[in-house]
Formats: sequence, C-alpha cells, structure tokens
Amino acid sequence: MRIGVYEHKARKGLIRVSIRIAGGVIDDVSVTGDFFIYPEDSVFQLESRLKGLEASWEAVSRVLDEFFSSGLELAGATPEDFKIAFRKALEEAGLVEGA
Amino acid sequence: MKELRVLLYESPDNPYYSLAFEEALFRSVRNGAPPTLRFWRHSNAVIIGYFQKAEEEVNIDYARRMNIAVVRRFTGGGAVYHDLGCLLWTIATKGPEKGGVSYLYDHLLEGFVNALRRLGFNAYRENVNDVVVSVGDRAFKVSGAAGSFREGAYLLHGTLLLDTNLEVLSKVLKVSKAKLADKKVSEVKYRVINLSSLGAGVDYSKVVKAVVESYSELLDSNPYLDLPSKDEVELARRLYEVKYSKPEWNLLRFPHSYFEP
Repeated sequence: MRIGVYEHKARKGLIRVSIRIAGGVIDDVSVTGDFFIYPEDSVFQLESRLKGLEASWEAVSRVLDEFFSSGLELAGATPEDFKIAFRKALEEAGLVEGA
Repeated sequence: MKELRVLLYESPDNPYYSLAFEEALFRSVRNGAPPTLRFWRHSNAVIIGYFQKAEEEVNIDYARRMNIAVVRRFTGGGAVYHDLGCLLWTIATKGPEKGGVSYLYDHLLEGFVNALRRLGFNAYRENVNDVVVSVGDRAFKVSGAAGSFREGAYLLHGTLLLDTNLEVLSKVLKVSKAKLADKKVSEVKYRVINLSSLGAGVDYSKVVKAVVESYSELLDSNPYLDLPSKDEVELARRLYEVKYSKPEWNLLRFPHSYFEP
C-alpha cells in the first residue's frame, strides 16, 4: 500500500490531497482544506469518482478535466491548483515521475 | 419598500445549535423567508470549514484543555476561533439566479465592509473573503467571511474581531507548512488585530447599528427586529440532533447526505 499527501497553496486557500493506493488502484482519497467550491458537495462526488480508479496521472487528470468542465465555481483557486495538488500527491505516493 | 429582518439570536454556550440554526436560516430563506441579518456570538469555540478535518486545523489537546468546542459549519473556507469578543454576523437573502461567487464575495461582502467605513475605518476586501483595515501604511485583518448559494438564495457569514483573546486564537489554530512556506505571488499576509484596539469607542452596539444600516442600504430595505419563526427553530433543532451535535460531523469530514440520507 502506498500513501501520498500533498498540500498546495492556491491564491486563496489550501488544497490538501491525501491518496491511498493498493494494488495499483486508488483505494481512498480525500480533498481537505480551506478552499471554496460550489456546489460544495461536488467534492464528495469527485472523491467517489476517483475511488477504485487506476492509480495513474492519465486516469486521474481525465476525471479532473471532466469534473471541472461540469459548471462548478471556485473562488480564489483554479482547476489547475487542484490538478497540481493531485499530481504531487500521486508523486508523493511514488506513482508519477517528477512533476 | 422591502424589509430586512434583523435577528439578535445567539446561543453562546451551544455553538453546535448556533451552527445548526445557520443552516436552518439558509433553507428558510431559500423557501421564501424575508432577507435576514443575524448577529450572534460564541463563548469559546473553533468553527471549521465544510472541507476541513478538525485534526488538521485544530490543536485538539489544547482545545480540550481549554474547553473549546470544535464545530463544523456548512460553508467552505478556514478555521476561526470565537469568544465573546468576536461578533458574528450573517446575511441571508434571495439574489440573482446566476449571481454565484461574485454576488457573495463582491456584492454581499461589500455590505459589511461599508459598515466598517461608516465607523470611520479605511476598510476593504482582500484575498476573496478577508476584510482588512489600514492604518497609515499598515494593514490588519479584522474579519473573514464564508458563504454558500443555491437556487438563487445566498448566505454569507463572517467574524469581526472586536476584543478577542488573540493568544488563545493563535494557540488553538494550526498553520499549515504550505501556508508558512508560501511567500510568493499568492495570498497577502496580514496580522490579525482587534478592531477595538484601532478605534476609540468602537463597541458591539455601534458595530451592530452600522452593519444594520449598511445592509439596509445595500439591499434597499427597512430593517425590523424579529425572532426566528417556529419552523426555523424546529428545523434548527432537528439539524442539531441529526448532524451538528455529532462528532462525525464536527471532527471528521462527511457530506450532508451521511446525516440526512
């Protein structure tokens, strides 16, 4: 089992991604911090979409792109901030070559 | 002319119920209750944002030792410490269907900033949801706000440091490593300060009066003092029972659907 945690500071707010990988699959993931996203519960939808997904940057970034193109609103952060946090968390878990 | 309902409704020693009432108020306005401005306080509590986990934001041992309650709110953003020296204010109103983030943090927050200007402070918004007061060439953070919107209804609530124990505040809240390391482009850092130490004669009642006047002007309405409705209190009590009194809600980070399937 591998665990990766990364804290990324957006213009406003901290985005902390914690990811647990078992058998090449995302086993658990949480996005915590003091950011703003609307509607709020989209964060939980994102997490459940990622659970059980193949633990690769390709797969994760595809889900993130889809997620952020679904009419969400952020305040003081961009989709890119979330992508950085996810990529670095995967890197921390040893899954992505130096980002 | 439209009306602005003003509630002086607080339960300082039961922050769990206070936060349950916030959610009840948001739902109530969504269901047609008039625009509402609420003032409230807590004796000794840390309130964390919807996406935060208590252990990541709060020095739990210190909070236990000091008898500080830890409560999660339904809006995003960061952790704050409240004692009776911190005035809490909430504005809940219908607004434009697609007003979104901009209606919350540009339009509605400006109402609170204008209240501080009425009191003679050089106040402005910074970093989306901070309210900063400048004195000479120095600027201090005195307030932070967070809000939500759904189906054309908006709720924005915030703090105002009047006379809070800043030592307890700095001990109970954790600051993340990433925030300490962040010296680049992003968020501008301000020292937090109590408003009462900046201006002579600023007190609770003067601030409340200024905030009422300011939001009456912003929403073009007449203020009147009111009490929560029976339905609002019933809803708040139910939310308190199923969600806000639960450690799973306050300390972990579960969605609303976990508590109200």
